[in-house]
Amino acid sequence: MRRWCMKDFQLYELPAMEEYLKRMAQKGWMLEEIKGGSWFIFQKAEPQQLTFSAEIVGNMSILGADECDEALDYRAYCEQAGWRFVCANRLVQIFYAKAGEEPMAIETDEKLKFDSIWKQLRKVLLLQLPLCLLWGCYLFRKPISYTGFLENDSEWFSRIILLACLIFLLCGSVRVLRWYRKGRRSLKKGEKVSYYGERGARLYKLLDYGLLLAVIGGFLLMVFHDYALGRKGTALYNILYFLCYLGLLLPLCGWIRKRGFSKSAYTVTVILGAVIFTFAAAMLFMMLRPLNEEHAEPEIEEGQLLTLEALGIETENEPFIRQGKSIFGSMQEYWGSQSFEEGSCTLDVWYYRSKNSWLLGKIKEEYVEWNRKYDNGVHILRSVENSRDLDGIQISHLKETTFDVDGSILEEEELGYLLEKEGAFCYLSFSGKFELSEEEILRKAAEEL
Amino acid sequence: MPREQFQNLTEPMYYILLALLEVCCGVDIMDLVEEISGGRVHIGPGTLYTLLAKFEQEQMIEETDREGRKRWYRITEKGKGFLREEQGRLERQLSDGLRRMEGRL
Repeated sequence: MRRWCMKDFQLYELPAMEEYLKRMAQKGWMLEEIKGGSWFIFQKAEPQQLTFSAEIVGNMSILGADECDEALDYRAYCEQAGWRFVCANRLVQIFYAKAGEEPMAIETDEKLKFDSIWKQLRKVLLLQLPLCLLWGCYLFRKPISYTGFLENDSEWFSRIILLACLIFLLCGSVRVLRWYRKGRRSLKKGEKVSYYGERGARLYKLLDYGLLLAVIGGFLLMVFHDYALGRKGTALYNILYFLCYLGLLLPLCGWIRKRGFSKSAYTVTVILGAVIFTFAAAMLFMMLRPLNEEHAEPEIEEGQLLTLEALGIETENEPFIRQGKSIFGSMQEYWGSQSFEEGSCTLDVWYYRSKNSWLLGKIKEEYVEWNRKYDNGVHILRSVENSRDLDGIQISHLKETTFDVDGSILEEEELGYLLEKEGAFCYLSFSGKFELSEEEILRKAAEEL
Repeated sequence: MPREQFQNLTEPMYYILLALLEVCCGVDIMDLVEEISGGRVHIGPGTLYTLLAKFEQEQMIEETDREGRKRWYRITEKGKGFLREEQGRLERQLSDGLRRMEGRL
């Protein structure tokens, strides 16, 4: 009988791994192999009192194969000294000895062991640093437009995933650095370096798994949300892209474990591998993109959008429509025009609906309530005036005033109307000849808000 | 590896080089170190493997024979130079200590 357990021990938590394996052997579970770095596979055996030793091969490449020369030599030395080899997990070699055998400890030089572990951890930290910077820049960048939060869920979702990944990486890095600082201090005092035990490792893993659950939960939420909104193409696209990504990543990791790279090829391999992997992921993205675009737009209930047709005008031109829904609310943007012999008419109407007043305020600031100063000193201000109430909806005129460098007014322009109620606002502008009066058009726009 | 790392040989390094004055393989080195040091210094197989790899990289020792994964090594002239330097340093350290303790310094 076999038993699979998911565990993740860092290089500075090897004593925790030894404690864990010892405890499992006492319960009658003997480690057989470790798959994928975190899956510990145990075989049912008689309960035994065993001593485990998990050590790293200091001169092995971090991308070295499990069966590389360095690892095989290391195992041979330990086996000659009386240790029995169990399995390897990349750099980590796991040995055991039966009660009463008591072979010599594998590592007897504290400083050498500490330096070997730090050398490998330092490489990982150096790889993580550019990743952290890249993710940090993406996470804290200003959104191209706040309306993206209403259009679909990818804007907020990608930030949540990145935030979780960033916290995960930063917590890990801080933990490594703390261990290094404590270790250095201990060595200076001539004391033994302390490694995180099983209890400490378990506490940290709770955070690990919490973040992992947040990412998976967020992903599922997004998929179900897309599906519920009728964006079946997007939901399918996200699932397929995720699976394909894993499909690329897992064989790549497996191949590295089997074949490995020599130390000299390390930097070139990491850079080349990252480029090839990114390229392959981008290709997948492009291949699956049509799936996303097809049926990407949610089905918005009929009558929610004011159009030229709704105002009794038959249009030949394709109007511009952008609409979407997210967990924060919904948005619709419409611009249509029609030319006649005696002139033309245009309708420009934007609806934004959200219960989140902060987000709604930001969108309003971005589109409607401008207060911008340009490099040449010209200052443009958009303001509302002549507000009135129409069936519980506040209607105001929107005006744009351009000020010169000395503060004098250069230009004043009537932009249209701003319709507001709790949790929604609408910008409306129309020109040309309509069968309906201005008041009737306003009333129709207000009905859809 | 920079030479500075071997400026002061650690105790395990010193005894491994001493043991390799004759051709030895892994386990023999461990036993010989214990014998030379009168059971005072113990070297684990992992530590031995790492140090031998470092010495070999610095050409302080050389491989003389190989049988499967088992390898035999012996110290080189460069290695002997390090050993003599270390012995000189230890002698000076000891004589300084003695003179100071005896009140001659």
